[in-house]
Amino acid sequence: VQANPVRHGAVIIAPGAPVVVPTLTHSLSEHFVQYCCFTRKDPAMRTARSFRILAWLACVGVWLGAVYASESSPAPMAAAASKFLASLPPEQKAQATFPFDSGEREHWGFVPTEIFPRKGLTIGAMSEPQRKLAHDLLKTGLSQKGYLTATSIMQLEDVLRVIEDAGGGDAAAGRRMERNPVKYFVSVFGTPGAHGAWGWRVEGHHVSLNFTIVDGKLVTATPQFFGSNPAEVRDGPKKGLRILADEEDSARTLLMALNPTQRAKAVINTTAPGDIVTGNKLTIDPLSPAGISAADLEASQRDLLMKVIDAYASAMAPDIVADRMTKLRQAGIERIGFAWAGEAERGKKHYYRVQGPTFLIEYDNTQNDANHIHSVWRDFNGDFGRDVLREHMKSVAH
Amino acid sequence: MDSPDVNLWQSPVHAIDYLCKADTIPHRSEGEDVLLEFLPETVGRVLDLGSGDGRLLALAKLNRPNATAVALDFSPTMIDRLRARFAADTSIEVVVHDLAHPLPQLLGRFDAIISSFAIHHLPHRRKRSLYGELFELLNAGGVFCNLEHVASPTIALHHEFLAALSLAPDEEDPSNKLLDVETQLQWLRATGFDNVDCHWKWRELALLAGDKLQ
Repeated sequence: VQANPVRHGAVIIAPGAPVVVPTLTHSLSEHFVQYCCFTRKDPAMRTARSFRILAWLACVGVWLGAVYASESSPAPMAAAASKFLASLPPEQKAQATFPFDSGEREHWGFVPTEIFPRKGLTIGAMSEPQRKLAHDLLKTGLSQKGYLTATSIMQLEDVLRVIEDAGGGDAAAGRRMERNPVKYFVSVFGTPGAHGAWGWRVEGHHVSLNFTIVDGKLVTATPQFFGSNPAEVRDGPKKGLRILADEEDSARTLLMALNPTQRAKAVINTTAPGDIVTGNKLTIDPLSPAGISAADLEASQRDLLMKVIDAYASAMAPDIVADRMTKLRQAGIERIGFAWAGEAERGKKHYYRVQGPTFLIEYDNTQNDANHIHSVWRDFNGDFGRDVLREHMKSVAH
Repeated sequence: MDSPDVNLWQSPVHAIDYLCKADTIPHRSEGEDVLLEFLPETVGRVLDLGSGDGRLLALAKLNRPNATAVALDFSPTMIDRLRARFAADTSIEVVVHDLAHPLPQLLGRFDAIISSFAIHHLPHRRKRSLYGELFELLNAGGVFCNLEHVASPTIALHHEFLAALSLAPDEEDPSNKLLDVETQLQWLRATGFDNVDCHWKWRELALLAGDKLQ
């Protein structure tokens, strides 16, 4: 499947294509085998060959190290988290830190804190220098686009407060909620560093970003939740602002590109559910029905499907995107399903899911008269780094 | 619903109508003067987004004569005006491009990116992604200065602004997609710009700027 390449900073990732490093490594290993076969029988050549191979491997090692260091997010994450923690006095540090094996690490949600009590240190409780360091940490896990999205959602609390103060939205609920753009909690689990497992989270109303890092190499970033209320600002100086426009429009574009037979498979219900089906469950299983499979889509339609996936993946740092796309491709792009529920027309209640063998994207826009989005990327086995932690525990056990 | 994505600026009538009124926009020259203050003294390469007839770029060249520049617009009328205005100046390249689409890959990098009353014609989503593209196009130490038409906090203030321009509400340019200063400053900061601020403002006219640090 050839989808349009997606640009993430300096890295170009074509969904469905292998990432750069494995491809090049594979190609180098082929050359290596050929080289060894041709020189095996000549002693003089063998000696020369040994030096050349060592020099060659050293160069490749340095090159791979440089590539990995420049594109990998765990090291900058650990540095940023350490710097942030170092800026906190003991009482704040006690609020912001938890043991890695604490149950708090998987205590995640996306509704207001008045409904879903949270722990951690709020941005509002930080000094300006501490806030900058907290934001520096957030930037290490996200792309420029993702960071813009996360911070715009936080700022949207001000818009929601104005709407509710004027009696709009769910004004009764608004009276119970603070709607505060700095009521977002930063939490660090374990000790940031190059060894062992640690994690961090930034969470509050409509933002939940959960990162797990193992041995300074592997990083996972699910559950990844973004929401937006209002989905579209309809009055005032921010009129027309739609923070999650890509998430909404990309899926509708795909739906509209389907022929009637395909659409009959994709539309699983004429009524949209009132929220994402998986909510804030700790573990999730594949949902049924899965809708239309990518195997039943034309190439151009599959490109549109990849754009839906990209609307979510591209919020993350480039190495996290590359890992996700590799995993998704290895599990089989043709096995990804797209399901829609509710009406197709903009402004009407709707829901969709994109589900592969390993992951689930869910999106719902039904609340507040279909002007309130919840969207999430989940990993069936890898939420909170469960899969990489299992592998890590096996290697430690041996 | 979305503000309708209307953009009349490819229409020659719309473009000429604007040019007739461009000099009468109150306080415009104040904003331009402040913008020029923020251009580095030794600026090398300048990109002017939505150049129109080249008014802002001509001012920039007058103040920074050694600079080379790219003038970018999509209106055939404006492109003709730009080519005529800068015909004898080999340091200025005129590029046809619609800002609604990602910037051309081959523009190169710049020490300053300037714009005057253009970006507010783009949908908000495109404004946001454009700021990201501009950050990538700037050299370290570069500046982005956007003299912009922004949204008033209230309808009453918006109508007062229109009245100051001798316009009735129904005479407003339907291509306008105005957004408040605060949101745009927040986007610039989140994009990576430093020293982001609104350096000058008169009613709905504002100078938004940010640096890309060394």
